[in-house]
Amino acid sequence: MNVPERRMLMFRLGLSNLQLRSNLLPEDYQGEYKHRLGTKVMHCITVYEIKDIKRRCPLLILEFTPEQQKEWISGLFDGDTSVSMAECDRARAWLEQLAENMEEALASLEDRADAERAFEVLCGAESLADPRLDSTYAAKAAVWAQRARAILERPEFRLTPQMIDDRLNEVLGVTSGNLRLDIPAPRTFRGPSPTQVPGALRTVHVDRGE
Amino acid sequence: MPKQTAFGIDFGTTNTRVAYYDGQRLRMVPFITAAGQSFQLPTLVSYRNGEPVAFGAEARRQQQGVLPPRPLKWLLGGDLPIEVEGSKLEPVEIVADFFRHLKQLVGKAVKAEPLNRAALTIPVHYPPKAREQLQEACEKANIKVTNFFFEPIAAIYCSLAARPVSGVTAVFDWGGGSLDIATVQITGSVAMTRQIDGWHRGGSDFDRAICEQAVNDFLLRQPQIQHTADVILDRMTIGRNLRLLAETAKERLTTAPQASLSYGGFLGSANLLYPITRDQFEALIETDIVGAVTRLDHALHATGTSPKLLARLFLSGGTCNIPRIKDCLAGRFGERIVSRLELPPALRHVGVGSDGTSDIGNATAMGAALLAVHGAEPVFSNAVGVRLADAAGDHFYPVFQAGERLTFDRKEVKFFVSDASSGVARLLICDQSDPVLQPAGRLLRIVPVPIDKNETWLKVGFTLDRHLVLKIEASGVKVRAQATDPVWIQHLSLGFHLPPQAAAATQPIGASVRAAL
Repeated sequence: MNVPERRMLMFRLGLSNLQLRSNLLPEDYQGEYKHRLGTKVMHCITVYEIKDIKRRCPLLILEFTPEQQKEWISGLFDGDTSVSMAECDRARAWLEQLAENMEEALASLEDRADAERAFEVLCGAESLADPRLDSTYAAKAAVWAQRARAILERPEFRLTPQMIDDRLNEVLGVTSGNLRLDIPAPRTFRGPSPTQVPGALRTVHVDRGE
Repeated sequence: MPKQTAFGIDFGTTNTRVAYYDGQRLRMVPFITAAGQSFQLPTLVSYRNGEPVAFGAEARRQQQGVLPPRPLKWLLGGDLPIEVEGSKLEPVEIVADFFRHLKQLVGKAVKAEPLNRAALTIPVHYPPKAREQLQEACEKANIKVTNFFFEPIAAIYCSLAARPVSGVTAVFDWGGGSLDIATVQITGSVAMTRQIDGWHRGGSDFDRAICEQAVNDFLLRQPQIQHTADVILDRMTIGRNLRLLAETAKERLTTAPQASLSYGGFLGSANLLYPITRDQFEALIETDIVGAVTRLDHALHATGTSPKLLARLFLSGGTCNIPRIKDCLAGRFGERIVSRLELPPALRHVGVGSDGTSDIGNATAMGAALLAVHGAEPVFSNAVGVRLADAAGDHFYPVFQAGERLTFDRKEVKFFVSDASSGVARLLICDQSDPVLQPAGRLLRIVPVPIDKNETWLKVGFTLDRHLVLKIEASGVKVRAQATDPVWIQHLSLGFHLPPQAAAATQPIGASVRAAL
């Protein structure tokens, strides 16, 4: 993408991977189809949405297929199999997934600076650059972090390096709940360890639908 | 004014103040010491053989006992016991000892009602665990904490109750342990906190900086001593005592051009003598002052105002008495700086000057008592929610709306995970002060949540507790997170409803609050 095109389009890092509803549903989900005016159609729906509808409308009668019934039941109960950030390379995988967009996002920000997006990039880059993560992107991530800091240190944002570090620690949960010692806070950010990603809910239990 | 009674406690890093509303007037509780009457009690307790032997100013004079290694307020938040003169003491017990003494003193000064219930103020970034332990310490001293309020919010509430003003007001509360900055704008009858920022730098850090200079100077003259300045200051009793001398020197430098630290028999038979001028001291803290002013500028900018447009800057905290800081702020804000608290007759207390003004340092305790007596319910100033991403872009989903009253029930919201291939749901907790300027909100925390790679939904639970901490628990729909690992957000932007008289006075054609009260 050339520079003028980049300026037109703000490239997103895509840090969040959450939506209000499934992206498999059509655009006019719970709306009307143009070719069937007056008729509300829901093509695809998961059992979780049905469960939610059921919860809100207890008198509604719903009929499930056997497959849906099975899925429905499995969705009703919490399980007891644990999943943690330390397993399946999760601590590194989610950050490396972001690395693919980092270069484009930074180039876009350097053309049109935005403090909030620059913080997103900085959070991802600093975490990825941590040597304890042992990522193949570590060297690149250190450069990305420097570039993101350079954007944030532009005069229009009125941020000092200390303020950037403070917010970074806050966003990554590095200092949250920690005891304040009588020594000045370190001027440079120390990233999280691969097994202790800041703020991560470390162990969860998975239901296997039994 | 309501006829009920209420206490407000400003548990400061250096000094503690207590305000009391007796059903008719708001008063500061006077503490009688050998030096006379004072409205502040040094937040100190010294120990001998594991037992408290002196409190407040007596403990400061170092005639008996040994002080804990750090200010009491910042001992809280950890699990490990504190070593004081060879005895291992629990931080909660140390703070409880102080509050027991405080309760006794208040009992002597206020005959009408014992200090059984009180509203407490805390810094914006005070750790959640420290807040819990502070409540525990108060309960051990038989003081029930009715409410927690943020220090700058309490200070500004007092100011606005006394003299409301339209436009953006800022609080610059720089105490012994931290700097708290808040910008507040009145919308209708609600004072909304637009920006809130905290920095763990305060007067005690300046004391340490003076100590480091003094000890390094001493070590240069005594090369045979093998200890480093850090070891002397952090691990030795003389280091703690030196800090008190540094604090006295710092206070002296606010009025005198020079002060000195003199410690006979500092290490062995050697004496420590370190003279320091005001210029040297100001050079030592210049970086901190620049950092603090930059933070204030940033808060104003983020509020959508500027130093020129700010209606009033409310100074609070002992560190603001340092002349260099006063000059620096005066150059930018001129007469809009409020450094004395103007009190209408109904709020005037014992010790108020003939001009009806009070020491600004009393504002936090008085604000806490007023907030408690008015039954002021905090509200969310900014919406708090989650940043979502779909094909159209990032957007903000509010879980708590701006202006919503704080409720302490759990709220649960479910989100679709668009890509679970890494086994992590990327939960972004944000706040939003302006939907136009911040369509995707302002990032507060990134919470990577481990989920099953086949997971499609994430359940997120939000619980606000009475320590003003938002607890967030998240897990996949089919999974359950361990309850021991929640995420906490402790620096929420909270506003409050103004007292009716003050709210009326902020209207364009309203009567002045002085007349109304």
